[in-house]
Amino acid sequence: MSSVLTSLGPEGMPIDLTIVLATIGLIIIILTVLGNRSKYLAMGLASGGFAFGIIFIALQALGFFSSSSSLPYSVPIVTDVVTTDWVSYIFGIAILIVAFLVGLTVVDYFTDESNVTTFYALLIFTTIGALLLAFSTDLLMMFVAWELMSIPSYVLTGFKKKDPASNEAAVKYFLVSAFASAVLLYGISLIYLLTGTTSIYGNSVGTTIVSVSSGYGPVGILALTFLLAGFGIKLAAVPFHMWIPDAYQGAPTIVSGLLSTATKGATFAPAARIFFVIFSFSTFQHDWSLTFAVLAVLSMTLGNFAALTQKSVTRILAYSSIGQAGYILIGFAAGSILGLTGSFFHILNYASMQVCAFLAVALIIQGTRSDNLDTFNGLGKRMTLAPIALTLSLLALGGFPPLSGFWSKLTLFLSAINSNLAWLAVVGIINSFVSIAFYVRIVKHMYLDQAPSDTRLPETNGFRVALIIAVLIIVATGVYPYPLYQLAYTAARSFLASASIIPALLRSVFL
Amino acid sequence: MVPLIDYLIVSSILFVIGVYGLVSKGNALRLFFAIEIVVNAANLNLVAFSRYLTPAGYAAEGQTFALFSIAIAAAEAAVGLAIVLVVFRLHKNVDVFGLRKLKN
Repeated sequence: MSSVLTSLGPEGMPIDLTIVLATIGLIIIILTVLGNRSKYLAMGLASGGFAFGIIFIALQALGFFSSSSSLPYSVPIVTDVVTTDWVSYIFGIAILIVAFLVGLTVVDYFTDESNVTTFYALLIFTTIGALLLAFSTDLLMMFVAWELMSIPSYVLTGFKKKDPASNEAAVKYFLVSAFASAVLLYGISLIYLLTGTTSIYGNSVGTTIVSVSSGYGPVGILALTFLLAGFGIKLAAVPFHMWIPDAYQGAPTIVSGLLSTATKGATFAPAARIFFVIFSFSTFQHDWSLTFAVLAVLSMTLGNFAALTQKSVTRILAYSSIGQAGYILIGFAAGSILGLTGSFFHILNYASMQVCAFLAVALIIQGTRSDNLDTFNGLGKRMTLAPIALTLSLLALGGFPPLSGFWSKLTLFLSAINSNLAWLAVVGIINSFVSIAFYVRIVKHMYLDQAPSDTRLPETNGFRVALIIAVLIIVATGVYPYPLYQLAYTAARSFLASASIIPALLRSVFL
Repeated sequence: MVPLIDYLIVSSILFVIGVYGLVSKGNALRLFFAIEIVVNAANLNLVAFSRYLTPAGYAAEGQTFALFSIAIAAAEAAVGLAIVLVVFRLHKNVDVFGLRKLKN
């Protein structure tokens, strides 16, 4: 663990990034305490930090800092508590882009709150937690990052402290999420008993798995159950989803956007590491593939069908986020290179689509003061950019062909068929059609229904910039998906290769 | 030396008490304490396993983990109780079943 502190070279990149971002967060707090409450200064500092992070990770991934690392399919050598592999690069960039977009809109969203600078500090800290979660390869680091991501986000959820809905969301999110951490910790303690180490890629894992099959089986299954529950709560997978609609509806809408993309996306990285590395060679390999398949089916079906009957747009988006988690889990169930490619690709796309949808809804709610579907009637005549951005992101979430969501869903369904899970692909495709119903319903309300009044609603500049960037990402990926697909493929391939360093090449069946 | 199974029994009992408290009551503070009991069950596990796996204690990862977890639980308590306090100021009670504004 001490080598982390001594390796502040290219390999210490996650630590460098943490130091830079944390310094910016502390500067914002110190300025606030000293009485400088300039919102735009905080926004500039935070956006600068996020932009620096995006460029830093991109340069690192392109091999700018060293000539030897980052060969496309090289297997990372993991001895530290953090790693720099392709999985962490793509998750890191996705998290930072989401944080950047949300950061742009904060000043325009909280017009009547006095502590906006504090919001930026908390946004930075929760982003650092999400980043470290994607980079961590040690259960201790993972747990600390998990909590660093969660604790500021409770405060963000309850940021409108005079609003009962925001408070209700915060207390519910806090209790459920704290329980998730507790269960996760219990599961980690059982893994520690089985493996004798907290390192995910630890040396003794291989030997341990042998002992799992000969006598420790029940403990292993118990550990798997606890971890699934802990991760399932954060990933919004059914049956751990009950808190999602309340929390997303009550929280400030831009915070819902952050929670449903950065927090959720970042959780997929350690989930993949734990389930594919620690549990990959155990005897119950088949079991958990089926477990993920069942979770995927439940999440897709409940998320999409429950969304059909909702009246509140933020609630529809919350249920849609449950459904989308189901699609991502299809790739986990498939467990092949193609499956993980689809999962990573869909997480990237989902992040841009969902954050675009939530930011557009946040802008609309600012004008209409209500998230009821009926107040969205005729919005196409009253606003310009927000309805267009919302329409594009909803169509992309539904999987319309020229947009980004289509390609990643296609990859996921193909991977399910390739791994002899054709029934899963069929369920996914049926769910896609169901989801189009409620996505298009919102579009219909905005463009075809009669507006209650013709007054124009304001569109602010921060939202404009964020929405344009998000829409560009969605459309560009849809028109030319190859680079992102290739990135996801590289990540999946090197990740599964690193997962199979450890003893038998059981996975080679799928490679 | 106390055998490992004794620690496991105590920790399972703590876990069950925590989960029972979580499903049976609606008071936010009670729920929070129930969660803390689950966390402490896990901490007990970590320390006991650490002692069992490395009796010499030269690589006591589990005990380090428990220390981190206790510190984090304190931070979580600070934020959580602050949220509960704000809810109390608005609603004059902290019963989560009474918080139903968002359920339409």
